Formats: sequence, structure tokens, C-alpha cells
Amino acid sequence: MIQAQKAFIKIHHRLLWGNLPSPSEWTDFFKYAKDHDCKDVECMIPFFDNAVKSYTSTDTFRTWLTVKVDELFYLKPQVAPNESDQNGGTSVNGSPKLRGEAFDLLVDSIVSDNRPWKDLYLSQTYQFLDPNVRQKWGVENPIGLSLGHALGPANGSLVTVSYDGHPNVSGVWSTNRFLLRFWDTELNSGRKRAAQFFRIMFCDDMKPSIERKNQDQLENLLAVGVTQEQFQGLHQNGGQPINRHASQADCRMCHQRLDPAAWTFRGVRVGLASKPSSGQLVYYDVDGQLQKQDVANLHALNEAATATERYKSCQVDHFIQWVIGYDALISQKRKYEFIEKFEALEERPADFIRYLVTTPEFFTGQSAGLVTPPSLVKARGVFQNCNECHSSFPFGKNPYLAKDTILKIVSKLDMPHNFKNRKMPPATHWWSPEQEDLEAIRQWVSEGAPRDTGEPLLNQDDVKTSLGVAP
Amino acid sequence: MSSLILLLAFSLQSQAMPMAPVSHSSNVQKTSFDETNQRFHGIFDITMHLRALTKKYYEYSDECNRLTEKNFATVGGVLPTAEKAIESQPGAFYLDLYVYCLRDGLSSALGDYAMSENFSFILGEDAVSFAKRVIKTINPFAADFTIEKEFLSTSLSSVEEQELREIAERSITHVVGPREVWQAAGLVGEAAVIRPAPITEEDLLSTVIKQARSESKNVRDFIVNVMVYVRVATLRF
Repeated sequence: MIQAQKAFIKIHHRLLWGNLPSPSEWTDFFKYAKDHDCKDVECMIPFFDNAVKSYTSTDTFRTWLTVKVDELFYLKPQVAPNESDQNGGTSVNGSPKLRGEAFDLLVDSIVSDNRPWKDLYLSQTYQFLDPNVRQKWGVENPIGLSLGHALGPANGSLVTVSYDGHPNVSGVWSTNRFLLRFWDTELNSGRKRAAQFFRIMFCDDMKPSIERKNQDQLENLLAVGVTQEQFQGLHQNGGQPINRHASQADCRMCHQRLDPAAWTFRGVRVGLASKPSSGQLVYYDVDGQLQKQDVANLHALNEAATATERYKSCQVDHFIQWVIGYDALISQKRKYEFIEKFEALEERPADFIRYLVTTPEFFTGQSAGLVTPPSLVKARGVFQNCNECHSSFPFGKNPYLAKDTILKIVSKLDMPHNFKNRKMPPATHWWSPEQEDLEAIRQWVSEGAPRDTGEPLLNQDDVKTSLGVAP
Repeated sequence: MSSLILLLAFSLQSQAMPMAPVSHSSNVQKTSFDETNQRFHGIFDITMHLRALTKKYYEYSDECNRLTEKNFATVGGVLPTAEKAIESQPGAFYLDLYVYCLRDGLSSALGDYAMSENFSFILGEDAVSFAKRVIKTINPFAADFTIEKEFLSTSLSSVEEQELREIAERSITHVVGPREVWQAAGLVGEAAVIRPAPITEEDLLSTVIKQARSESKNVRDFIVNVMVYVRVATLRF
């Protein structure tokens, strides 16, 4: 029964902000175990299911999930200011319902009412403060680029406004908090927002491989394709920088997806445009194939995205990380089962979380029969040094391009020629791998570059080529 | 106690970390942002834990319930007015702040301001009669209506060993649960997070009492130190 006790502790820890069961909850736990003669964790599942059902209606759970959403969007977790705090400080008092921005109220509504998760991205109905209160506190143009905060009590003063059919209104993407957090400039032209769209919707994290120091500066230089002196000269002379970065070969990998989606964000560049801005949804599907779909506007972009398997897989990944853990190891078969369940439950977050905490993966942290290959453990330790510039090596953030990522690594390390003309990491980088680091990577590749699940990503011919042996 | 708690806490971090990279630079943090952030939400963490452990406490420590210029670099955030996300990793001394704030909040919960709300909530339904039993042996003339205050301000040297064990057990029970679950919570047994590992529940009580006693003058301090110690020890889940 130790495992059942640990499971109960973990449920509390994950869903109720790390606080452990109270003495009375333990009393209920032991009573159930005795009444049902439970000897293992499986016997306790109905108890856990019932407990979680009650937890998901608590303020603590709702606060936990709303904070998770805030963090997903790289937003500072926000609770409305305390009444005594007149300076807009974020003291942690009051329930989430006192959060006043359109973003906050939409998220709160989805969490509190257990609405389908896709409403986060698709909803065209928002709640705002009563107009009289809005006027008093200076909140104009509620979901556009207003800088107003909803200070003051919200009880009984909320109104619901529908923007049905508006081409540039789509869930959180059209709200103040998102638009101000990821600002638009002539240079990025909606790409910053589109990058978040891909990261959050498809778990496709497009990071430029640039050393963090002076990143902003280097990004600007790449963007215009000029030296630092020329860049300064352009601005001094009032010249307009020409964006050449997106056409460079390595950069096209991301920009062929990023730019067409960014076009649809033009509709929210300055307030809410009444006219649509068309674009494309370009993405790699679950088979690693590039797909392109024309979309008429921002809302259509999201409608198209939420219909894809990539979207569902990614949202399930978010929940797995939040509930089971960031280090959870889920087999591909079980992942498909999770996705099916997510769909069957109409993407309702509380219901899906209830399901997740009763799975064996929640109790053990991984699917049955999985063992991370020791060679991957060693190789991963080396690759962590690469992740300062790159994304989630060795598999990359896009799981459907993992094999391509690995083959690129093999090439950049010049593994077929025994690392003789290695190009990575750059000679100017502070870290340089030792020989044993390179051997650890070679060993892992020789085993077929297996994933945590043991599934090899490279076939025998790929392995031979990587090791410099004729296939 | 505070240094031992920090040692315990950093040991927990390193146990759960992915394999640390070989680094030639102090710029590279050994803990991934996601992995640390999953366990430490920052200021919210402190407040939500205190809300669960107490019915009422006085938030007079500004740095413990909001991001301020003083604590934001430690917590890993950015000032509210800057409106930027918490993208940087929680600061190296976050646990220091966490322990300080938890202790601060729990002390105020058992202080004059909130004692009546918290006494039985923390020490159990029969806490008052337990306190009477302890105090009457020390001061038979103690008034019933001041029992809670007298109990909490009693010097540790006046409390018998067995009573101290019971106070410690009640404190641990409030934070973690009854002694039947201490092993599952990682406090007892060969796999315990505390080193050297207390093998039995009695061993745990001895360990905790020894540590808490050294930094406590009175019963209030003792209860608070015990609760903070086990709270930090069970952060690893």
C-alpha cells in the first residue's frame, strides 16, 4: 500500500500546489482501503477518481491550472491586486475570479466551467467589466491594445460580449495580455506572435541557434544581413532594413512555417482590424510530412490548427507534463490512447486530468516496460551543453523531425570521419566536448539512436553511414 | 536548523535533476528551468503552502507575498511593472527565501494575532487538552483561558522528552499525515530523503527533535522548525 500512499501524495502535490493530504483526508483514505480490503494502488483508483473530482472544483486547483496556462504563455502569473494595493502590485490575494483582463477571464472560464480546451484558442466570446466600471477605471477597447487594468471588484459587474464571425478574434491570441507580451514591430512583423502559436499549439519551438549573449543584437544583424556598422548606418540614415534572414537556407526551415502564419497576425497589429489578413498554416504532420493549408484569417488559422493531430498531441503533452511530470516516459501506443481519450472527453481539462491521475503512468512516471537505454542517458548528459543554443537535443523540439535532427548532428560532428572536421560547437564557444563526450554520442548512434522508449530512430544503413562504414 | 534544511533541500534538487552537464563555465545552470519551475512557482508557492498549513497568518513580510525589488532576482521573476514573464531560472537562493518565508508565516500563524484560529488546526482537535496536560505539570496554577499562549511560549527545557515527541509527531502529522504514511512521503526507511536515513518513525522523531531543539527556544519555535523541516523534505514529489 506504500505505492497507493505515494500516489495520493502525488495527486495532492501535482494538483493542489504541493500541499499534502490533510489528516482527515488520510482518515478517509485508510477507511476506504480497509472497507475495500485494498492491497495495491489499482484497488484505490475509484477513491482517487472521486477525490480528484472534488479537488477540481476547489479554488486551489483552479489557481494551479490558471497559473500553468499563464506560464505556458510565458506570462507572469497574475491575480488581481489586493484592495489595499493601489499601485498594481501582484500580491497573491483574492480568488482567480478577480483577475480582470480578457485573457484572465477567458482562462478562468475554461478552467472553472471545464470548457473544451480548444476554446482557449478559438473562443470569440469574452467577459468584461460592466461598462460603468470600465469607464471609471479607464478600460477602453477591451480586447484590443488597451492598457487598462480591471482594478476594483468584479462581483456582479461582468458583461459578456460576443465577437462571433470577427476574422481577427480568436481566443487568447487577440487579447491584451498576449499582444502586449509578444509585441509586434516592423522587423518581426507578427513572427514573434506566430512563434508562440507554433510553440503552444504544436510544441514546435523555433529558436534561432544563436548564443544567448548579444542575442537581440545578432538577431537584428541576421535579419538585415549586414554588419553592425552598416546596421547602425542604415538607421542613422533613416533607411529601412531589408529582411534577408528569412531567405537564408538554414533559416528557411522555420520561416517557411512561421511567415505564412505571421501574415494572419497582421489583423491584430494595431487594435483589431475589421478586415481579415489571409495566410497559410504550414506544419509538419505526425508522419513528418510538410502540410500547407490556406487560411482566410487569424480565426481560420486556429480552426485549421485545432483540427490537426499535431495540435492534439501537443496539448496532451502539456497535460502530461503538468500532471504526470516533465520527465514522464510515455510509449507511442499509450500516447495515442491518451490522445483518443482527450478527444473523447471533448478536451475538457478537469475530466482529462481526472483520467490522467488514474493511469499507471501517473503512479510510476512511465509506461509499462520502458527503460531508458544507458547510452541515451550518457549521450543526453553531453547534449545538455548544446541546449544553450539549440532546442532539446538530441531529438529537438519537433518529435516528428527527430531523425533529421540526429542526422544533422552526425553531420555537424563529422562522425563518419571520426570527428576530424567537427563544426559544432563553434570554435568560439566556451564549451568544447572531450573525447569521451564524443564517444558517448557515437555509442548511442551505433545503437540506432534509440529514444527513451528504446525505439531506434536510425535504421542499419543510417547507422553504418553515420559511423563511416559502407552500408 | 536553517543550514541543515538548506542542505536537505539542495540535496533534493540534485537527486531529482537530470544528469548534470560537463561545464567549463559558471554561466550554465545545472538545473533546467522546466524541472525547477515545476516544483517552485516562486512567491505563489510560498503563499499557497501557507494557506494550506494555516487558517490565518499575518503577511507582514512584503517580500514573501509579492515580487519586490528586494526578492525578484532571488525568485527568478521580473518586477510587476516591467510586465515581462518569468523566463529566467529561479535564483540560486530561492530555497533560502522559501524557508525564511515559510518560517515567518508559520510563526505568525501561531502568534498572538492568529493563535486561536490555528492552534487546534495545526496540533490536532484535542490540542487544547494536550496543552493543558503539559502546562499543568509545569505550572499547576496556569489559567485555562491562557493555556494556548502559555503552552507555545514555554521554554523547551521545561518540556519532558515524551511530550516533545508528541508535539513533534503532531506537527509532522499536520504537514505530511499520520505516521503510517511517513515512509511513503520519503521521511522514513532506507530510501528516505533525509540522511542518514531514519529507519523507523521513532528514528525520524529523534532526528527531527535533535535538529529542531538546537534552534528553538520555546515550543512555538520548535513546532515551526519541525513543520518547515518536513515541508522542505517532502518538496521532491
